[in-house]
Parts: sequence; structure tokens; C-alpha cells
Amino acid sequence: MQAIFAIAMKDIRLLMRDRVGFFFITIFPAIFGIMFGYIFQGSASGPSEVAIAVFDADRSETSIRFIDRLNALEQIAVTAHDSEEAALAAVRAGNMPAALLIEPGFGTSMENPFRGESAAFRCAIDPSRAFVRGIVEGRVQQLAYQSMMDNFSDTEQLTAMIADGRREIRSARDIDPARRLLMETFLTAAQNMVNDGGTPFGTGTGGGAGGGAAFQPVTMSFIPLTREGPRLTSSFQITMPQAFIWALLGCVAGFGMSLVSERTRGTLTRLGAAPITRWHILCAKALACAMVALGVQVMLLVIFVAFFGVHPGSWFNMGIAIACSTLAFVGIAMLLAVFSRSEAASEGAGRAVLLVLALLGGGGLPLAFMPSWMQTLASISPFKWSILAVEGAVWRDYTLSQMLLPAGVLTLIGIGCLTLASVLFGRDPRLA
Amino acid sequence: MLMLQDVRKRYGSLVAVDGLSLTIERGEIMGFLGPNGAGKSTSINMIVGLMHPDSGTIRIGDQGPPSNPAARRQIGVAPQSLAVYSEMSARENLDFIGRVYGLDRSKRRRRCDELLERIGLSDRADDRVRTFSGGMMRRLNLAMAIMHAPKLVLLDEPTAGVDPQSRLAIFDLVRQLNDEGATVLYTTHYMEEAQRLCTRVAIIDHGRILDHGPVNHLIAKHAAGSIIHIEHPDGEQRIESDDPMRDLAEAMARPGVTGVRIDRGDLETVFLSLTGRSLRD
Ligand SMILES: Nc1ncnc2c1ncn2[C@@H]1O[C@H](COP(=O)(O)OP(=O)(O)OP(=O)(O)O)[C@@H](O)[C@H]1O
Ligand SMILES: [Mg+2]
Repeated sequence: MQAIFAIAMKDIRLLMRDRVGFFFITIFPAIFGIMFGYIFQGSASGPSEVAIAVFDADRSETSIRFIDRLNALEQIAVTAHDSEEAALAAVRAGNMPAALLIEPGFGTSMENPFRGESAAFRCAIDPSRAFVRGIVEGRVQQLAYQSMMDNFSDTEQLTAMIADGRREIRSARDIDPARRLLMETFLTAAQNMVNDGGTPFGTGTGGGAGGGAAFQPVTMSFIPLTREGPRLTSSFQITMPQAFIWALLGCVAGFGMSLVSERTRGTLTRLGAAPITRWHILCAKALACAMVALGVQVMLLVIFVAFFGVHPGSWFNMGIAIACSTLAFVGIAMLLAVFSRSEAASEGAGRAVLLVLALLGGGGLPLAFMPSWMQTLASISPFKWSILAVEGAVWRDYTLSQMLLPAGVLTLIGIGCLTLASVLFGRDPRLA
Repeated sequence: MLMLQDVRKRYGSLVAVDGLSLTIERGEIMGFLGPNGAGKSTSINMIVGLMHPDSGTIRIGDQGPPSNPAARRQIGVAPQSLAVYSEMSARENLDFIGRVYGLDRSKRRRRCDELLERIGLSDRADDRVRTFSGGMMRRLNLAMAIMHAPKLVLLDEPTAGVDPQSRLAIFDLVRQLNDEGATVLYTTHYMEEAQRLCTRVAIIDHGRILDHGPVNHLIAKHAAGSIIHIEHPDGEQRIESDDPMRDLAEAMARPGVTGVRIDRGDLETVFLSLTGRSLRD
């Protein structure tokens, strides 16, 4: 046991002193994850355009026109849904950051703002993307206000509206006298202003905020919602798992060479001549590889959690993901180590294959952005399962049974490779 | 201490060790003398269990074959290739090998200091081995072999690429080890070394032991006579002679002789008479 530990510590010490190897296991993955996190952040996320799931229960001319105008706004993209439930489900599943439900009577209220009932919306916002709330609220209010202004700026229509309002007030019986008086005065003043050639509210968009405070053209109520689907909120949630696999790749490349380099150095002769078995030697290498792999993953996790706002949905699953990834890639590293006979050959072939697998598995183009056929093809790469496991813990919100698939695949790879490696190493006719 | 019986090993079609039998007694320094490719390193690799012989048996002391870890514990090997970690210091190398052999911390420390002193590397103990000269690495290579104070020390060409001074230091170290009770198998193709250092010598060629015994016995057996070198303008002629005075007079009488030299028989002569070839060919 002491010998295993001695060899493992020696390997870690040698790794720390190998600047290039150390760089590729620790610094490179961190830089990769951080850099691409920023790059993806600029292009894919951010409040540049907010997708809104809209359900129109009113289906009036006004509401349809309103939706068109909303869609035409630069910051907003509207997707129509057939039912309230469908629109809310889209938000709940994480496909849309916001849902807007247009209530029945919206058109009438918009056309008759002086009846005392303002047009109503209900709105639902993905709690993990709360920052879109301001945009949705602001834009919808502004647009509703503008739509009304357009009516007001037309004097004929405005006169008709005022007359309509007067009629309504007079015929209403249950209205309290003070309010009736107030409305009458207001409408008379408005009519006078129209007659003088002005408009009571102006038409500039600048009136939006101020007008909204004094007079809400529309009311918005928010439906509280809990997220059920994945919570992909930051690009670092994607690039952290990628950083993990680049670190694991570095470990495999480094420790895959460890037996070959001992062989070419001649130090394997010493280890083989010592009163330990081959199994001890392989165990020591695996232990060193596992310690480095675990250490680096934890280091990356700490960096991304502390500085880049990544919060694993489940720390327990995170633990499973890291443990199983480590097992799998230690296995792969040991198999590569046993297979490798000469330093140059195995370095070339091994690294090339691993690099392709890493890229295919989502190390370059993120798994979540791949077309589905490619995601299927990626299943042959152990890196995919590692990414899936980590993403499952970070934002895919996998349940324990959903974790079982990636974790199981990784465990099988690990155990399979380790078994094969120890059988092959045991059968190796010579160590010298 | 070590017994090899009819050991054979082939690499593909090449027979590297061909029915080698040898017994080394406790306390000996046994020379293992042979030209390049004779099968010396292959034999050593089999003795330490790095590879299995195709046939034959190897026993180490009373611990059985080298596949038994307890048997291997008794052996220390200094491989022909420099088996040191160049990115670690001399002390770290020694400490590491001590841990692999299960020595405790205080023992490792004591032994490190002692060995570094003995191989003359105390002042470079904490420098990376990468910065060492070939001779310094060679000495460290030897020190790592004896870190755990083995009973049987296998030295595979411990003086390759070493200057005369380091060579003497290594000789001293080997003698000291022997005085302390270690049995040594000393592999070399320098016959002077074998002659100076070894109590017995085995001469190996093409994977077989041609003969073995104390150096003077071998010389008496295979190179009893003297060797007369006769120099003339075209080169040098070498004559083995049982009666040097008579042959010398005869040679000097020849025309065109520019000089003569008489040597006593040595291991070179023994090798020559056993194989018909010179050791350094
Ligand atoms: N790994 C190997 N694969 C194939 N052939 C080998 C291998 N190692 C040694 N040989 C061959 O076995 C024979 C014996 O080699 P060995 O290294 O035992 O010789 P040696 O006596 O140690 O020589 P040297 O003095 O050069 O070290 C040589 O012909 C060599 O070419
Ligand atoms: Mg050799």
C-alpha cells in the first residue's frame, strides 16, 4: 500500500513539474471554459431578443393588430400558442422566457379607454430569467399606450370616443356622483382641447412612462411560475462541462503516457524489480490519475461557481457526475497506458483519437447546440456521457433515475477499461 | 545466493540466452563478462523477474524464483539504461525508491544521506537530476539499486560512460558493498574491470557461458602462455607462446622487425582463445 501511494505521489510530482502537461490539465481547460463562456454569452444569450409565447383569448381585430406590432418590435419575438396552458407550458419547460396572455375583452377596452376598464394582460416569466420581466412589461405597456395614442390623435375618432364615454357615464346608474362629475369634467375638457386643435395626451412615445404612472392604459398581472424543465441561464453552464472534459482529456493524455515514459526511461525496470506486483504499479498509476482528475474537476467547479455564477441544480448529482467521469477516464488512461509501447506512436495515435472523440462528444460545439443526428452519433464518445452527466447536475435537472444513464455508461466504460488494462498488463511478457 | 539452471530466452527467432547455467555463492563478486549482445542484460532482466525465461529455473537464495516478491526484495538492480527520474532531485529519487521498498521515514533519511555521501553527490543532493553529468547519473543509478540494502546486487555495466575518477569511486563502492556482505553480479565488457574487481568471472557469448572461475584459474587454463607482439613496418603480429624466451629470440632474428613486446596472458586472451574473437569487436 505504501508503495502504491509512493508511486502515485511521485507521478503527481512529476506531472506538476512537467509544465506543458500541467498546463493542459489545469490552465487550458479553465481558460477554455471561461473564454468560450464569454463568447457564447455575447452571441447566444443576453437580452438582445426576448421570445414571448402569446395566447390571444380575445381574438379581436385590435388584439391581432397588437400582436403584430409587438412582434415587429426589435427586442421581441412572438410565438403564437393555441391555449393558455400551451403558452405557460412553454415557459415552464424553459423553451420560452416569457408568456403573455391576452384576456377576452382586450379589444373593446382598448377602443374604449374611458369606460373605466383598462385592457388586461396576464404574464408569466421564467423565474431563472427574471431579467426579461422588465423588457416584457415595458414594451407591452408602451405599445398599448401607443395604440391608444394613435386613436387619440385622430380628432374625429376622439370626438366619437368622448361622446361615447359621456353616453356611457350618463346611462350608468350605479356610478357614484362625485366620480360622475369628475369624468364629465374631464371629458368636457378633452373635447374643448380637441376643438382647439390639440390633443389631450400628445402623441410622443416619451409620454409612455409618465402617462403609465398617472393612467394605466393596460393592467398586467403576473402569474407565479416554477420551472420544470432545464434551467439553461448562462453560457458558463455549457462551457464548464466542456472545461471538465478538456481537463479529463489532459489527464488521459498525460497518464496514458506514464507507463511508456517509465519504460523508455528504464525506471519501469526498477518498479518491476521491486517487491511489488504489476497490479500495484497499475493501481498506483490509476490512483495518481484519479487524484489529478478529481482535483482538477473540483478546482474548475469552484472557479465556475465562485466567479461565473454556475449553480449546480443538484450537488449530489454533481458528485455522481464527477466521480463517474473520473472512473471512466482513469480507465481509458490506463488502457491507453498499457496499450502504448513506444512514446511517439502512442502519443500520436492516442491523442488523435481522443481529440476527435472529445470534439465529437461536445468539447467544441456544445452538445446542446448540435443537430439531433450528431447528438446520436456523439454517443460513441465517452466525453458525451461525461458532459451529459455534468449538465444533468448543473442545468438539465436530471432526476436520480435520469442520471443513471450517463453515470451508468461512464461506470461501465471505467470498469471495462480498467479490467481490460489490468488483464493486458498482467499478460505483458516483459516490463523492461 | 543465485542459481540459474539451463535458462533460455528468445526474442522471436533470435536466441538471446541459450541454456545458461550459473551459480553465485554468497559474498562473491561475480564478473559477467561478454561482448555486446551476448545476453547479459537479458539474463539480468530474467533474474529480477521483469521477464520469464522460456525454460530453465532461477532461484534467489532460499526464496525461490524471482516471481516471488520476497525473493525480489533481496535484489537490488542498477539497470544498464539510466533508470532515474530526471525531473526529481537525487534525494527525491532515493527517497522514492526507499518508499517503494517500504522503508520508514527516518531510515530513508539516514540511508539517503549516507548514500549521497558515498557516491559523492551530497552537495548536489537537491538539484534536479536533469542537470547532472552522465557519470553523476550513473552513480545515482547505482545508489538507487542499494537503497534498501539488498543481499544481491546486480550491476549492469555500472561504469558505462564514466570518467576514470568516477570509475574508481564506483569500484570502491562495490568493494565496500561486498565487505558489508552483499553478493555482487558485475556485468561488463571491460575485462580490466573484471580482472581487478571480481573474485570469479563468467565469460558469456551468444547467450552461453563459455567458462567461469577465478580470474587466475581462467588465465592459467586458457592463456597460460605469454603473448609476444612483434612490430614491423606493415603492422603487428601476435604470437602466443609457451616458451617466450625461445620465441622472442627467434622473432628478433627476423628481418625488418622494429620492436617486440611481451604480455602476460589476461582475460582478453582468455576470451580470444575461447571464441577466436576479440572482446571489443
Ligand atoms: N527487447 C528486445 N527485443 C528483441 N531483441 C532483443 C531485445 N533485447 C535484447 N535483444 C537481443 O538479444 C540479444 C542479447 O541482448 P542483451 O541486451 O541481453 O545483450 P548484452 O549482453 O546486455 O549486450 P550489451 O553489452 O550491448 O548491453 C541481442 O542480440 C539483442 O539484439
Ligand atoms: Mg546489456
